[in-house]
Amino acid sequence: MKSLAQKWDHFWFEPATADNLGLARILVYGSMAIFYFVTPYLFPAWGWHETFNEWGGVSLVFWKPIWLFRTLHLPLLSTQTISAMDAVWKLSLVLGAIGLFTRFSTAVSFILSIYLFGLPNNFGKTHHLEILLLWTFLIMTFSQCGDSWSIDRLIKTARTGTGRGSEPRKISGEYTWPIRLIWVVMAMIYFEAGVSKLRHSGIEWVTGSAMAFFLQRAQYHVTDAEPLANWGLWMTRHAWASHLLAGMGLSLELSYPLALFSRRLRWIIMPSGMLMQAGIAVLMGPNFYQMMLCQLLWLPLDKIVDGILTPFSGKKKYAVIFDGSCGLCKKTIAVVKSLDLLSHVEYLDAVHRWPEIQSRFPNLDRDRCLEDMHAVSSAGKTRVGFDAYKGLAWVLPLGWLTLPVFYFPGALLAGNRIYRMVADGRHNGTCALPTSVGSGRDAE
Amino acid sequence: MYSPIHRWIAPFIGRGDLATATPRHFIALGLLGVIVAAFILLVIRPVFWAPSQPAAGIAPMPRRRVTVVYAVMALILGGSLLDAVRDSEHWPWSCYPMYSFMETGTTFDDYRLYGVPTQNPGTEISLFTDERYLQPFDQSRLAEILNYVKDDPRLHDGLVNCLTRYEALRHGGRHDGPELAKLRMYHVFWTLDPWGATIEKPDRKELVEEVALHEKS
Repeated sequence: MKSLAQKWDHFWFEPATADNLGLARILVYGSMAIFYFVTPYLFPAWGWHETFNEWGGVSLVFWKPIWLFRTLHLPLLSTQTISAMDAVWKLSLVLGAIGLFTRFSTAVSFILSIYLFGLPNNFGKTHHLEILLLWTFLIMTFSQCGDSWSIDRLIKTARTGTGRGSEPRKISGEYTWPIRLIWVVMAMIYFEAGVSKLRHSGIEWVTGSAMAFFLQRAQYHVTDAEPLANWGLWMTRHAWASHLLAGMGLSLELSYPLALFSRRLRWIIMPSGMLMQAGIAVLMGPNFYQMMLCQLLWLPLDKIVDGILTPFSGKKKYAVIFDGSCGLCKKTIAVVKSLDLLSHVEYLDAVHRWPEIQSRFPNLDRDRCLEDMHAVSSAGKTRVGFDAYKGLAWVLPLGWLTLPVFYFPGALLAGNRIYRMVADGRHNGTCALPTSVGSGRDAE
Repeated sequence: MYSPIHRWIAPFIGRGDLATATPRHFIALGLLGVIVAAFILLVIRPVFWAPSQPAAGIAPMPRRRVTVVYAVMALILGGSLLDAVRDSEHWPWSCYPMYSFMETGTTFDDYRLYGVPTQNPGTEISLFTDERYLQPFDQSRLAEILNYVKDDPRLHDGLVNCLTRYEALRHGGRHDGPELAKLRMYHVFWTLDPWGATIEKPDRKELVEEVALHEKS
């Protein structure tokens, strides 16, 4: 029992960094934001399935509230109100993806999802397509998914000067349970679906003609989306094929929880689950895009990203020389380090490592380096102040997002002024410059 | 007739119908309760606060956080387990009964909507052949709700709403169906054909209701 208890604890609270959870947040919220934004416009033939506002125009004759809506007395809102909710919800998805106001945005996305996802179910039939996503939103809301790969993290880094590359990574069970809970919910959904089949139909669900019936009837415009192909009719005509399909489907559903305990089986069960969902869309119609997406959370996203970045990382493209005695400069460098996913930048403290800097870059002047941040490229070109940031934006993958700002008309002028103002301002605060001992030579 | 305990347990078994509950159900439920209780006492209780214990290099979770985490787990998993045992649906909790019921045979029936084009009033088109016609309803949801409301005195109003929305969507370029003068709801009967030959050729249709455009709902 002690061993079992330890396994329980290890399963839920295995110490980990925040990276996997942060990437999972980006995957879930980012892909769903794109999905719900784009599909109605790019695929008008079926994308309207993913909109909610039209329900506001449906007659109340068809309004049959489900348990949750009855209990909470949630009404059918007008088209305009639902549209407004939908807009806020999509905004919360975007904020969740980039990790800005993460706790708030994830909470908003969950609360609004309850209404928006639940709304269509009040019109006659409950679908189960979005349930896993809804639970994922709830789990993310209560998790600390904004601790990594987020703007919130960058803001914290800018405030405290601590972050990726500046301090030991925080390791905690806090970052494990959310992903594991999503796994368990996923396994439970599949398992319960399998149990339900056995409960209501027994093994006859496989050996009988149920699957052939479903496949055949699916062609008669009865499902929430048309089957992508009519191959189901072929399977209906070949009994062995429909029995095989039913057997495989039921086996997968019942064995799904094994993925929780076996890493090897996980590599079979996860793709099989995705294939099954795709197969259902092809043969029977219902499409489980949201569930297919959540299957990706079985993957070790942090290791995958590391694997992708490693071949491109390590080659130093810039050496940044900064004032290590200045709090503001150290915070700035901490932010740059957080963005430096490919380790393309070398950080040199002009206060504590000047002899090394001088030997490597003899043309630099210490006073100037303490006054303005310098960035020396591997080709030997020196950029100073605002221009240094512009250069860094090219070598930091996340800095590419800021490039349009740097090249906006007038940005150079405004940027230099702002930089000058901030750089000069730091002398008035707690970041006093150390005594000047520079060589007096100007930067190139 | 029944003790309070019976009344409490009843909804959890036999699809909520006490009459179908047998001693076997009660024994099964009791065993499940014992297993769950034993698991909580022997497995979870000893390590419940483990994540809050300090350990080298690991940031401990405050006890309040551990409690919140277990509460979230209990909310999601407990509700699902309850619905699974009760075989009931309380969205977003569910027992996931899709495709669970044994449906066999070579015939089936459904409630469907057909439109009468203004340009060709002697004909009818099925509004289920293109799912864009009656969005946001999908075909399965629409058939299901039509079945629900077939005897509702407000059915006429509901169908006028469907026809009005069809025309509004058409005018908005959301589908390319013909202009409709009338909309009819039928109870439709099919013989399933393994080659799909009867998809658009039902055995018979029984008219349930008919509405015309510009009728007031």
